[in-house]
Amino acid sequence: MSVDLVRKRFAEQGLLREADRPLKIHATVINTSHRKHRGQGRLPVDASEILQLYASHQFGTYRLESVHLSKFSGPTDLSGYYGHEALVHLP
Amino acid sequence: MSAPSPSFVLVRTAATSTPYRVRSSPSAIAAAAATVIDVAPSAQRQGEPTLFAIPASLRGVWAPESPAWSVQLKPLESKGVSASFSSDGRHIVLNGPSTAAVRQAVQQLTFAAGRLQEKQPLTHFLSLPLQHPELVDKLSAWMDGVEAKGIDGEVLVKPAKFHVTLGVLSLVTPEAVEQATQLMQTIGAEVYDTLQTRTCLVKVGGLRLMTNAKEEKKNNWADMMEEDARKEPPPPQQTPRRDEPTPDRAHVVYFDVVEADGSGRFRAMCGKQHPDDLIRIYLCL
Repeated sequence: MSVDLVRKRFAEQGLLREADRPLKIHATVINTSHRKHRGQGRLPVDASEILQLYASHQFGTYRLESVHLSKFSGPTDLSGYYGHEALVHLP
Repeated sequence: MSAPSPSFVLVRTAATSTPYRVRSSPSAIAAAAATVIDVAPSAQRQGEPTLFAIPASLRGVWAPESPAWSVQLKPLESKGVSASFSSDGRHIVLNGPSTAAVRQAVQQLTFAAGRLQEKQPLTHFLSLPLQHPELVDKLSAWMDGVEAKGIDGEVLVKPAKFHVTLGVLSLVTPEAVEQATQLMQTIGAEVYDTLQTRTCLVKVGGLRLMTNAKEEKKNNWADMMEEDARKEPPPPQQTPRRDEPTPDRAHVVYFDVVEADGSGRFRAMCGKQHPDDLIRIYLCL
């Protein structure tokens, strides 16, 4: 059984950047790089209250439907998700 | 000892049919390149060339007459190494006066390819959309609440783009896009096998602060040449990043995504999970 299948297959063909760096599975909700006006460096946010408040907050359990080869830029798909070159449907 | 999944460039010699995978971290390249050239003497005796596989993202960037390639060609020619492109443009054909000269040429190209790839913009990423309608609704409501608590709306991710990132890619040529697209098509069956043809359910929740990782100090070309390629490369020096985020000075905040049934299938599909102190900020999108 191959571990880290998707990353491994892309790394083998030299297609994955940062391939020898660790992966942390996570879903970002706040990112200061999204700020429109960038002054000197990125301006941080004070998240101390919400980090305490939502440390145990659960959204529930969901089925993963697909793996996308997504595009950073360009038009989004109809739902507003990133446009993609290809996708693999999951069981 | 389990090594983290490395990125590779492929180096193949005419003496063998199997491509050698050379890890693209500069310190590891020297050792791997040495392995390749160790089999080259027989090829040299037979007058056979050594083939250097051009990484997909550099096809078209390294091409006959291209500026990026002429920069590489000059130092090769000064050492008496001739380099030309295979007819399909996928390999560089190296012929040199000695094994050492070819070995050095492979090292130069491997290192330069790694550097060039690092400079290229990130264009694509592998993602797992978290787009169940109920989840998107709940997340939107959660974000309204967070904004009411004073979090600036412009730093919030759009619920319609909520996802897990598995990796980032730089596909700057049509050939690289095509190669990645084809790979997506071919891994489908294997992904099904890894998930044992059962649905993959994940739990989304638990708000966390993304902390910085320690950066590896990059070796330069001169350092690498001085290194004895046959020895184990020294451990990379760790230098802490400036401006470590804290809860009150946060840059990236995320929800954990964990497999619901604990079967290990999710991890087998996506990648090894690493301890929190190794979290890497550049994977946050």
